[in-house]
Amino acid sequence: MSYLLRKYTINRWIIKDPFSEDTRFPADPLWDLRTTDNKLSVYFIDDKESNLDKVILALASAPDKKSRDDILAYVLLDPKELKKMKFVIEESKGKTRIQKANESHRNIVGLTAERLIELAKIIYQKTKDESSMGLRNKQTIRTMVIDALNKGLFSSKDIAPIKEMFKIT
Amino acid sequence: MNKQILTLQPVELLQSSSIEEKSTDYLWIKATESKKDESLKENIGFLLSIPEVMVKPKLDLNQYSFIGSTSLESFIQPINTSAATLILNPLESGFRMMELLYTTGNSSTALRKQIGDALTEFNDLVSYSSLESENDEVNPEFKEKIAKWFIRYNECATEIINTFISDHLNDDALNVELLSFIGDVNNASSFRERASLLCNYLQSKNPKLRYGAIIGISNTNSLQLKSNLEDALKKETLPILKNTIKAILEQITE
Repeated sequence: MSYLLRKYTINRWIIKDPFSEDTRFPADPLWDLRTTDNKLSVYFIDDKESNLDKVILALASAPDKKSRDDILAYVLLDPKELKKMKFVIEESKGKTRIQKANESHRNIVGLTAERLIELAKIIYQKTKDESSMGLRNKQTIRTMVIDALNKGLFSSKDIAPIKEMFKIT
Repeated sequence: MNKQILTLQPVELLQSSSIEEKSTDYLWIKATESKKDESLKENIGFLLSIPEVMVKPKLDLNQYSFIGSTSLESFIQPINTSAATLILNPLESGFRMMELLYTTGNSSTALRKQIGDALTEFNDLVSYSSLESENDEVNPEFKEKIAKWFIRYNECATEIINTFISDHLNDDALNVELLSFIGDVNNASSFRERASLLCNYLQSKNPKLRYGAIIGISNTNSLQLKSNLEDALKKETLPILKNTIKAILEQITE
């Protein structure tokens, strides 16, 4: 089964169950769902998860990042479930430092505040499901980055800033 | 370091003009968790030997006042002498004293000044800017500055952070960041103390503090602390934290 990966920050999702009596959804998780042009960035992960590590690497080394993550956490969303709920997914090339990840980039488009909360509730459920969430810690990410450097996955202009960010000599 | 009790200072934190003139020699005392030894009397003696103590009223964080050593007796009472523990007497005091453990054996002026400087700089650091930069990251400048601060004051830094967290329990994002940092800091000599702090917060009632401790332990990458995470996993009730611990346990490899 293929998935759509969305990065999230665990700390923001340690919240009171939004499906309990008090149905008001807290604001903090929405920070993880910031949109541009009402589009939310996600990555397609194939059914064998063969591109999962490349996408994680791409997110960990994103050009706009200034420091490394202690934890990079993600949820895996079911595209069929999203489509059933009338979320529209479009292909759109990514802008990361990892070309193969860029090809996996997608956008969930036409979002509204109300729809974002619906999406947030789906993500909340995924964070509770061990098979639908994952993370890489600092050491694992660093190892992945070193491996990628050795394999030449970063372009020459990116190598210096990557080494600096991950303190690789 | 022989941690028994503490104390401190900081002149720079004083806001009230009425006490400015006294600002150089006062200790900001605090409670304790004395070592299990026979030094209880000695500790009390030490406390009472301080001419005046700066205290912080419970409800107003920016106001400080002084009490004399006689009044101090009503603030501190021994309980369980075998454990040599001192506690504040909340009924008597009506004050909240900042807690910091430190040595009584060598509370020289220089040492007090060092602690005072460490506290002052720390307070500047945690208040100097928003924690996050625009792109969803913790401000890297904050990380760099606090790392330098920690190395400079490593003898008392862990305790200062511990005190700060216990005093600011509602600042979840900052506390998570501090706990994460505690695991990340490159300072072998303070490892045991830092590990102990992280393991304590693994048992916090506040799930965000537990999360911070989990990340802190992940950052240590220490096999020694794996069993603590395994114990935490057994007790954890929140699925999101259970899943986090499981994933981290698989990745601690040192």
